[in-house]
Amino acid sequence: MCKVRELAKAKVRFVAKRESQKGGVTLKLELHKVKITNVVFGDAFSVKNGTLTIHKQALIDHLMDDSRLASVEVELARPGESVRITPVKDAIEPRCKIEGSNEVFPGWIGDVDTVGEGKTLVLEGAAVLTTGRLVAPQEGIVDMKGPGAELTPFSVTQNVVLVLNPAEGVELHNRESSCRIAGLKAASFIAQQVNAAGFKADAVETFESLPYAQALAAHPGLPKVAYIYMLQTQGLLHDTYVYGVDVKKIIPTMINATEVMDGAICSGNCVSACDKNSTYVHLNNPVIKSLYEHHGKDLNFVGVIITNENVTLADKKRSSSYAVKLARTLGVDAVVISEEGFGNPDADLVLNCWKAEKAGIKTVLLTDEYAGRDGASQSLADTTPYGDACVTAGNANAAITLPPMDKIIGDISFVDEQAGGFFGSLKQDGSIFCEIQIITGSTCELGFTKNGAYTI
Amino acid sequence: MNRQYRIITNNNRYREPSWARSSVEFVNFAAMKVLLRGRDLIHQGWVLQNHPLYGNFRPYQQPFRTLLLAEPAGKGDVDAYSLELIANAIEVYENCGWPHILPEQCSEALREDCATIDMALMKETLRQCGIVE
Repeated sequence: MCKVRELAKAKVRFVAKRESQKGGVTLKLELHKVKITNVVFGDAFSVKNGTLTIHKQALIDHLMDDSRLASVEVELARPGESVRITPVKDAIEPRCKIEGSNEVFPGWIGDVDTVGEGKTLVLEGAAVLTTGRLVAPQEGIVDMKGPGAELTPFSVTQNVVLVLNPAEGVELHNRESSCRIAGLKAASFIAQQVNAAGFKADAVETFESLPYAQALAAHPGLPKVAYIYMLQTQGLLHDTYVYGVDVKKIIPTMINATEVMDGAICSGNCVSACDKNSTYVHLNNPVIKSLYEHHGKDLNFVGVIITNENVTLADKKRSSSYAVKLARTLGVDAVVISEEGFGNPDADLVLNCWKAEKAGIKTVLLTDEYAGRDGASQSLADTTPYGDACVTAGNANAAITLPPMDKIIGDISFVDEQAGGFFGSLKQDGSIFCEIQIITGSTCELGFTKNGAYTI
Repeated sequence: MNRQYRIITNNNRYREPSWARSSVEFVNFAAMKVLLRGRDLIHQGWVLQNHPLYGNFRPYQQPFRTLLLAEPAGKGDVDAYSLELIANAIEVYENCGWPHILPEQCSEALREDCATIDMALMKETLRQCGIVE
């Protein structure tokens, strides 16, 4: 009864504080970051001196309440180990809510209610990676050592790897769903157990989202900039979800940056490893991070517009026009536009670009390239002369030889058929000759990659 | 009046009985031939409903390709955007630098998975055009 009264009082205080803020509510999110420098198995979940301890059986039991899974194995992979993980589906950073309504990954773990304020625990430096075969032409590879490790951001994370085996007879959509949700469950469960056991944050970062009326009026004299955040939404294995909703079903909309940090956007995209945005990358979107860093200094970061990359031409037309309309409604001077994937999404990038430019809004495009093995072919499938400010994350067709690794987590036998591999990729000695497209995050179009770029 | 559509494909899944009432034109073997047939129809006034390129697959990674086109409206004037898209797509296929993968070159598992993905990625376009529910 005492606890109920305390909760009721807290709720009243929270509502009163919101109502006292004239002109709308500022959403404030604190990320309480615990730095993880090692991961081990043990009898209980905990973090001590940077070491994350995982109770393996408790994690497996938590995941196995999904009858669509036949079995789950849990392995650990640490930076510098001779380990290859494949096929990697998703990467998720362990996070959970400490304070504030709802839970992370709304619509999957959390309720469908809005997130993005309060306090969130982040186990920074840890990642949950999911593996397991869904279909043959499916990503991706993470090497924890060697030349491949230089191209993936997940060679420096302390990885808890789930090897997921779908149950016999489960249809492909359900197999994909069960594997995707298992990753989200594992990441949130690990963070929740650490929260329950107690932790000390190494750093607290605070992010605010002002009501739009205040945001637009702030920092007079600085250019107003919005971020058009393109999300892959082509169909099975090529999808993204916001608040549990399939993004191919939405029209473009505004979302607060802090909602993204609480897992409002989750990835269901696992075909092209190099340039798909894993859930981890959405949580740590470097474009959002960079815009916050520049906010109030040389630009006024006013908001985020999410949009889709559908197959249907009518949807491409509708979404590009609507996303630009939102930018015009905000009255921004410029937009940063990030693509996800390649091929027909290049058309969405181009549509967003020229429609914004024709509306008097300057654009900067973030993409990657498929310029052939020698880099001499046209990089994108579509072009526009308006796209004259473009940042590239690299050429996904660049070739590499990955040396053999001592340990394989997952299944290496399908490497020849993964995007970026080809017949004969996997050599008898265990080495792999392939394109960097096969490496998870190697040309991430949000810039969450180990590659750099310089201005020409 | 309901608009008529035609599916152009090299994916044999569309031979299944459930597709008997749809207008499906099969092109044998190579995905590139689907694009070329699509281009021919576009020149006759047919209008593309889906983008001719996949997202996430290069031409040498996916042996199948399916296009949905709407019948010519009125005089059958060429839709400029359809023509631009198909021409760009053909150029991507021609310059991709690797031999295009053919269905019969794939393992059975790869062929079946690619056929499934091809259909899955067409689903929303077919639904919006009233061909599937």
